[in-house]
Amino acid sequence: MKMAGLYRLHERKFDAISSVILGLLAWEVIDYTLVRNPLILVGPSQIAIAFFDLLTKGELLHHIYVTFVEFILGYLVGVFVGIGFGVLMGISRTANQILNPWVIISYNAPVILLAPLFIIALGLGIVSKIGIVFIGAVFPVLFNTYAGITTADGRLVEAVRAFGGTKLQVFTKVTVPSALPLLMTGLRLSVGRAIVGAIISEFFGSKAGIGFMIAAASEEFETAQAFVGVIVLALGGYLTFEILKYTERRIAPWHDFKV
Amino acid sequence: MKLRSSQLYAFCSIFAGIAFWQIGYMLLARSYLFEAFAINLFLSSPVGVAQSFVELLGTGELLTHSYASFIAFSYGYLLATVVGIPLGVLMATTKKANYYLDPWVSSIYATPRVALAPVIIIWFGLGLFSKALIVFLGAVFPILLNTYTGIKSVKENLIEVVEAFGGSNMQVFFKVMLPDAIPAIISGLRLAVGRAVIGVVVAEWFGTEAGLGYMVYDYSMVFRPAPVFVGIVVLIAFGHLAFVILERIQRWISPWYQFQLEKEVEGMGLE
Amino acid sequence: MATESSGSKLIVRNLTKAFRRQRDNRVIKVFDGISLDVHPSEFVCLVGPSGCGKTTLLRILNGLIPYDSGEIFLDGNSVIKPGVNKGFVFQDSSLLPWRTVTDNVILGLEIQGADKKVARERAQKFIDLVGLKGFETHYPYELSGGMQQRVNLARALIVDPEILLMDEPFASLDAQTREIMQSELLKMWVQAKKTVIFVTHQIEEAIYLADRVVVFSARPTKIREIVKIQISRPRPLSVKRTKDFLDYTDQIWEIIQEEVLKSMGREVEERGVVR
Repeated sequence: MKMAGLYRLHERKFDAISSVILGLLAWEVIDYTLVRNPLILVGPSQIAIAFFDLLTKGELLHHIYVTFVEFILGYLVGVFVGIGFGVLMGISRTANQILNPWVIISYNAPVILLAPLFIIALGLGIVSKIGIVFIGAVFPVLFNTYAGITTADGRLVEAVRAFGGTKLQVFTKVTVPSALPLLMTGLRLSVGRAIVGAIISEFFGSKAGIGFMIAAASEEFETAQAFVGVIVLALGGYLTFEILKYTERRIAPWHDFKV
Repeated sequence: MKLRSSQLYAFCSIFAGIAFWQIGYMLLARSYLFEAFAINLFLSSPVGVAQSFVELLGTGELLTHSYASFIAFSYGYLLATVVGIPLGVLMATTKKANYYLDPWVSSIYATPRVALAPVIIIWFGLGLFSKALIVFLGAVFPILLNTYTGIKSVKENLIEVVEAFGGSNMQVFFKVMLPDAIPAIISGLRLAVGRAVIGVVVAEWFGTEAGLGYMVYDYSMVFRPAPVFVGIVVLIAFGHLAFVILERIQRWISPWYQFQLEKEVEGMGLE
Repeated sequence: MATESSGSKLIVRNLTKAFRRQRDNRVIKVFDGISLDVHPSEFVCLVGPSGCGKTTLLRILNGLIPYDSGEIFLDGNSVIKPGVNKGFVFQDSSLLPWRTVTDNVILGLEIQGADKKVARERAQKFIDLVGLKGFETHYPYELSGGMQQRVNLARALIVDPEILLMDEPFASLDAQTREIMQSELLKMWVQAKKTVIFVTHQIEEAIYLADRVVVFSARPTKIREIVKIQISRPRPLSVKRTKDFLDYTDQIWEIIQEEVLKSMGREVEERGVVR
């Protein structure tokens, strides 16, 4: 009876874990018995072997480091610029009217198309890579900052004004705090795009990094290795996600978190 | 009236922006910076882009590549719709399905498609299917998630109405949940367009000899930036068109949605 | 107990209900033994302090939520699940936004498997009854709040229920529309001759509409008093300013005031936010 109660309480986690375990088992079995051809499928066991292999050789950590540097630098620049312009557009109507159409276009545009041009312009070094990461990261942050600032609850603003607050006070006491949740959302969205940027930049000529590792492994049909790269990226992205979610909760606990 | 003035501003801004770009480029061309940094290898003026556009149109390249991209896009997008919507419905209505599928959906969602692209090419070859698959991976998540949210966030009181009349679960689903979720589903479809377009581009970088992504890459490699911008413009235009068309459809099918959204915003304010 | 005592339409005996609050597993007792008899074609209003469970009671009577112990009989039959023998009018706009007025009205019939065409023809009668002739093909978002509630009413009446349960249907209307709707409701009630149980927060609304007003206590809820309203019908809106009416108001308000004060302290304790 107690087991049943325990199960119900953590049903979600139990199911998730068992689903994953079953799935991995099925995957492994299918690969081992039916396929056995890395050109068609690769089983979890082989991926695990490749993972430890790369790890112990020190290669994995090196690649992770390289990609991480590209990511973090480009991301930070993107966040900085994004917040800057987002705030600008939020508080200045002129800036908003001038920049708005461009932002809307660029947000959904496949700016990733410009990646090769970045490489040509900025060379094969880390600068071009940072540039591409930047391009990916800047728009969600900008957009969400702008949205956060402009959707600050009008009544709260009025409340501060009613007590004789100056524009600056309105900004610091109302606008900034209420913009925080959306800002955090923007930061989270940018992570994904930034990672994509880093990988793509490495595809176009690099000697290290997870993207490079995947590309190189693919060229030699080392699918297991390539998959290791994929998983590392997924984990990295997931981790950054969770860190941001945690920060979000600390910074803006009043916000309703549903996702 | 209000709409007109902001649209006017938008036009002016774009127009001015392009004009500045053109002028700036021409000034740059006369300066030494141009040669020193070989700017013409990666940047092009608006006029140059326009010229390139006409040229590509003339040789038929633009149309062929656009067509190829469009096929891949449609294939993947359709696949995403056919898989995403039912899965979203399933996960929203059946708790068990949700619990079991969630880890898989979340992990695939967390994985950048770009990273998967090379592996997909190895496993599925260089053909249309691989391209469609990459598009699919991008488009399916907004669709699935929005369908899921749409069904989950059906207003309780509407469900109660049907229950009060003694309606069965099936009736609740078909008479209330599904119709109520439709606007949200369409929103998901709109979001998926952008991601699908990116998917097409990325897919074409890896694996084919056709499509706008390929065209853009090819021209970059021979240091001709103008076609790249043409490609971007075409893709932006297409994405925007699809977006707007879907919006019209959404408004046509569910005219009350606007009011519902407004009321919700109002409602939050009245809290 | 006797299943049909003196021709009562609705019999409630010793109803109890408790909730287990999810947040901290605390048990909140709502009813502690409610008993009530409602006669055919009677208009009964339920009033009481916030949280006393008037709406919960209504939902239990409809079969939407289960009760813990006690008995409920409608026309001699035990009430277990929702169905078209009970018409429920919800508080806010619960019209399906994607359906026209007519299609909304026929919803109940549709659910019970009626033929749509036949149902639509029948709907016309009720649309006229609630005063919405000409709006058959309109959508809810095109109607005002008062009009939406009329559709609500038509929808509940068309299934020819044994009893009509109304959950603060006029709460979201502005004051003037609300008064008009009260008056209209009485006119329709006279025509339709239904038994009605009407939940409201507003004492004056309850007195105006009802034959009897049931006054609830604060939680754990009991019936404090049942006030028989002896104002003759038909009642024009002006009756709200007569002395008798005001006396009733005083009488009921005193009771509720006591209960509200009692419940205010308890509410903070019950909210139980741990600091």
